Amino acid sequence: MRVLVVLTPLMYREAIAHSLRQHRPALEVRIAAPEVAEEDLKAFAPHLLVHSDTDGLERAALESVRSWVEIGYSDSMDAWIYSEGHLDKHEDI
Amino acid sequence: MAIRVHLADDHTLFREGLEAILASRGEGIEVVGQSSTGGEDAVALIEGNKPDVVIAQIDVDLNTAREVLLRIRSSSPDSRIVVLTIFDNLRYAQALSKLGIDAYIHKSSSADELMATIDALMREPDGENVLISMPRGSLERMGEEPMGELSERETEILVHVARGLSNHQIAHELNLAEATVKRHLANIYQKVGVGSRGEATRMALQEMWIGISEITTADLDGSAPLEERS
Repeated sequence: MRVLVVLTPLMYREAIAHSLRQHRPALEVRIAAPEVAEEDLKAFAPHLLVHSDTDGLERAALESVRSWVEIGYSDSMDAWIYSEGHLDKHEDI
Repeated sequence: MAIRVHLADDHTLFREGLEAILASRGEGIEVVGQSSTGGEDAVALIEGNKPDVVIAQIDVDLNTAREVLLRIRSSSPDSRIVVLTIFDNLRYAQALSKLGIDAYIHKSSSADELMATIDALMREPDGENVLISMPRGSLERMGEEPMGELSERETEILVHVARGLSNHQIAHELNLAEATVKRHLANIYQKVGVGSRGEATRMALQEMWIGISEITTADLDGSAPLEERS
């Protein structure tokens, strides 16, 4: 399974990707800056996209992946998780 | 001997990821504690463990930052404090430097840069310098904008603050909601790295973003300073 992490800032992106690789070694995890995310979405064709709510990704880009996690940067880190047509909010992930 | 690190960050997901990265260094770094940024759990763990380095997420206004950093410092006076922040603001960095931090790392830095910072601090245990990692663009923009990056509206509000007007009075004067004035003030504090109206006024005068004449003479539209109106 392929996972693309497009979180900002960079340190968050690296930390989350590292954690995913450590806990799920079978996953193929890549990171990308938001500026090049749309190209990577096409080239890497991830099954899961992890991104920030402020990265400016177009809705069309989100619709091209089967599942995505959108993390909101605020006092707590809340996330919207979309999978199999269902969208759920998770508080303070 | 491993460098003993405490991670203080309110975001569990990020903290755990960062711990995994630091732990991947093997024997070089040992994460001896994890906590929220400035809560009682942080104080107890830092006081108990006396880590070599405390990595603290500071994404808050200056008053809160001051409280948190003083709490960390008093829990373990000899620990080096590395601030991780989303604020790319040199004035904020300057204010935190005065609170005794040892490094100011913007979160757009890489984890490798964070580890290099920890190494550098440990190589110079008595080092006096503050290590700063900031986006190049932020450094290059510093000082280019008039009024130190404040917008025209923010500068206008700052002039009214310097005249001694309350938020309510400023809102009335500028035909804004009081909540909007408060929001602008919060932005001003964050941008210039201060925590109060007095500090903001002092900074604005010191840096000549506003002049004495703006405070003491009538506006172009004829409104006068507070003491003349009341």
